[in-house]
Amino acid sequence: MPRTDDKLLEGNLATVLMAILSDGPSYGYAIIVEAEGRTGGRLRVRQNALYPALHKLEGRGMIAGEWREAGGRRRRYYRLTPKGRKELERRRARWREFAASMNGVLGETRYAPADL
Amino acid sequence: MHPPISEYLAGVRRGLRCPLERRPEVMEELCGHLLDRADALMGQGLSHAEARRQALREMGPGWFLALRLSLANGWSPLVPLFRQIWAMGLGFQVLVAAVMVSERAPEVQFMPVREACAYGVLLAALLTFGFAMGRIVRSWAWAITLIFALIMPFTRESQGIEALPLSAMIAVFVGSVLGSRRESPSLARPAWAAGGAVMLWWLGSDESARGLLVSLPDAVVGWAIVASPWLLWLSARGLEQLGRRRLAGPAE
Repeated sequence: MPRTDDKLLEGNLATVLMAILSDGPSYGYAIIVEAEGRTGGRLRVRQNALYPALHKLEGRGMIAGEWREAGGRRRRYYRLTPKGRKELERRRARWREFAASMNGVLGETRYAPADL
Repeated sequence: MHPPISEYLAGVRRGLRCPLERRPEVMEELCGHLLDRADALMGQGLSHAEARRQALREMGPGWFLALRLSLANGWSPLVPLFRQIWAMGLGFQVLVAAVMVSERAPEVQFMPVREACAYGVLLAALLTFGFAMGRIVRSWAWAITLIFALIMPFTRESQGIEALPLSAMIAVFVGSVLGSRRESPSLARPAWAAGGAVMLWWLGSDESARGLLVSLPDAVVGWAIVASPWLLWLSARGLEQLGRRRLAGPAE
C-alpha cells in the first residue's frame, strides 16, 4: 500500500493532529493509531515528530493536556481548545481551497471544491 | 525497570532543553508511548526484548528527539552559546578579581584568624559561584578554570601559580563539577550573589578605583569589559522569552 509522502505529511501534521482531537480527547500513541486507522495505513505519523508537534500546539494554546489514569498507566490526554477549533476550521478551509487549486492544475475533476 | 528504554530516555533527558518542571512530564509521556508501542509489537508476535528495541528504533536517535522537543518548547540554539560565552567571561572576571583580592591581602594588617576567615569567605563564594556556572552551562563550566589557568601565567610578573589563586581555581572547578550534576534553578541566585560580591570587593579596591573610576577612557573600557558578559546573558534571556512568546502568540 503506498504511503503518504513524509514531507507532505510533516507540513500538515498539526492539522492532522487537531482533526483527530476534534473528535475527542486522546493521547499520543492512540492518535498515531487513529491516523493510521482512518487512512487504511497510508498515513503514518513519524513517532519522533508526534510529541514535538503536540507540544508546539500546546504551547500555542491550540490544544490542552491533562494526565489521566487509563489501562493501568498514566497518560497525557490532549483536547482541542476553542482557539484550536477555530484554527482547525481555518485550516480546513485553506486546505479545501488548496486541494481545489491543485486539482485544477493537475486536471483532476473528480473533486470539485463543493465535494470536499 | 526497562533497561533499553530507560537508557534511551536518560539520553533524551540529557539533551532536552525546556523548563525544569516540565521535564519529568515529557519523560513520563515518552516512556508511556514506548511501552504502548512495545506492547502493540508484542501483540504482533515479537519477543519482549525485540519489541522494545523495535519501539526505540521507530522513535529514532534520542539526541534528535531531544533537539526537536527542545525547539518545540521555545528553545533556541543561540541561548546555550550566549550562556557559555557569558559564563566563561564572567568566570574569568571573577577569578581575576579573586586573585587581585588575594594579592592585596598580605598588605592588609589582619589578625591571622580574621585573615583566615576572609579567605574562607572568598573560597566559599567562589565554590558557590562555580556551582551555579556548572548548573547553567553544564560540562562547559570547567573551561572557565582551564582558560584562566592558561592565561594567568602571562598576566603575572612572577611565573607560576601561587597557593591562593590555585585554591581559587580549584574552588570554582569543584563547584562547577558538583553543579553540573544537579538541577535546581533556585541555586543559581545565591551563586550570582556570591560572584557579584567578589566583583564588588575588587571594584572597591584602590587598584580598580584608579583604573576604572579616575581616568574616563579607562573607565569606559573597563566597565565595557565588565558589562559585556552580562549583555550576552541578557541576550540569552531575551531569546528565551521571545521563543515562549512566539509559541504563545496567535497562529499564522
